[in-house]
Amino acid sequence: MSKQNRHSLLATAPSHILWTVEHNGIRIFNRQSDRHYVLEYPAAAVWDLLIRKRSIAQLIPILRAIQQVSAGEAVALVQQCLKDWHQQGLIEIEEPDGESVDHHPVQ
Amino acid sequence: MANLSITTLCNKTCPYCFAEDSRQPYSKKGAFMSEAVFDAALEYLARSGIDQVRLLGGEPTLHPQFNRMVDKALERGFQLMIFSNGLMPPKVQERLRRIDPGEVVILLNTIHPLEADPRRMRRQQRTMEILGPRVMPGVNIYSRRQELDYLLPYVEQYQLIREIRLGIAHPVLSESNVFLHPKFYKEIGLKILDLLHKARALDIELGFDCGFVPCMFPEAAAEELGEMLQRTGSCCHPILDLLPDGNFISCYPLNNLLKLPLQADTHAQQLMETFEEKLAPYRRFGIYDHCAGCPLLQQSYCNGGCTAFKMNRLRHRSFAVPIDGMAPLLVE
Ligand code: SF4
Ligand code: SF4
Repeated sequence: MSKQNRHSLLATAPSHILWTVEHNGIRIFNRQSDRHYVLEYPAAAVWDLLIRKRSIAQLIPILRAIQQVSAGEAVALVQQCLKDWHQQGLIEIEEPDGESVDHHPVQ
Repeated sequence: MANLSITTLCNKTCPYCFAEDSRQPYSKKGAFMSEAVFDAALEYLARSGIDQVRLLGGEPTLHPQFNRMVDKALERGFQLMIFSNGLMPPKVQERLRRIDPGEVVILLNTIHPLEADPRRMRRQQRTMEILGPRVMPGVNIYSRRQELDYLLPYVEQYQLIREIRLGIAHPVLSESNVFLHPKFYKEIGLKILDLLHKARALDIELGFDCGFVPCMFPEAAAEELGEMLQRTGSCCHPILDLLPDGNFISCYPLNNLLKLPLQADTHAQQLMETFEEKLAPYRRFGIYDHCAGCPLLQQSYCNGGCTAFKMNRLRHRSFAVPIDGMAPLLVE
């Protein structure tokens, strides 16, 4: 079994999603729709950690430290970010076989 | 405004050249604008109410029909502006010398005395000697170490137009040229102010090309810069360069962004609107990471500097991060 197949889902950024660091956060630009999104902290920190290819397991303790929050709150923050970005088309959620997961409303 | 880029051929290899993505070295057969495209371009200018033909390249004077193009433009009553490195064939020098100085401006991209090879330097000076009052000296600033004062004696010595044109070297989208990084703009702003003081003492004015931004000058200099400073606000706008193949681009650095063909009914206003629309998403941020919070950007006084540099600020880096444990919120 490949390393990737051991995971249930992967978060990836489509190639038309570009970004740059600004003094108050991260600017994300969707080249397909010409739409801009400005991520302020702490969401900007989550994006920054993802593009540095940190795993969720690495990300949670870092977020706990920089945000001074509990593990549960850090997990909730990451979940909220992933949900928003998935809905906005900034990331894609892929199953290990490469199938993309549709946007689903969260109950 | 519209520039007719009549050839990609050039007899110099400036490291900062905007046309880097499309320029042909001198030894290769270059792309020349055909006479049919040139004629259609004159029609387009007339239709758009533009009274000036601006010829550039490459080195436009290397076009085999250059003199004929000059004749055609003058016959139709256009003013001429020619962007040249001054290394032009003698028959072109001779043709341009016969034009009244009021009808032509040769914007001469000067070679810095310290970096020039002496033969080229002599050729450029010879052009200034022959064409004197038709020549406006200019320089493209691509290094923070660049000296600018050498331009002043030229104006006196060769009786040139009493205006010096300053340009900033901007990056092309492939970043394959040398360009002045915005982190050096303030340093260059001070050099320009120094040049301005010396120039005004000699009754010489300065003019800016695109991409100068208000914050490169100290606030205290606002009054003496006057209108020059105000113009820096709309520092980046579609220039409308017509390539030799008959396609318009917004400007050379944005060569790859969008191309629109010259057609029988093309009008400059409509081209401007289409290119502006394409550039609009890039108006909301700037060349610096602090531009987004700048009141001058918010009040649309500054449009944030060179769009090509801004586009190069935006990056994509692929990632594929496993999100085990996050799934319940994302997927039913
Ligand atoms: S928007 Fe950016 S480039 Fe323009 S004046 Fe403000 S800080 Fe300078
Ligand atoms: S993108 Fe704007 S500032 Fe940059 S070279 Fe083109 S017109 Fe000039």
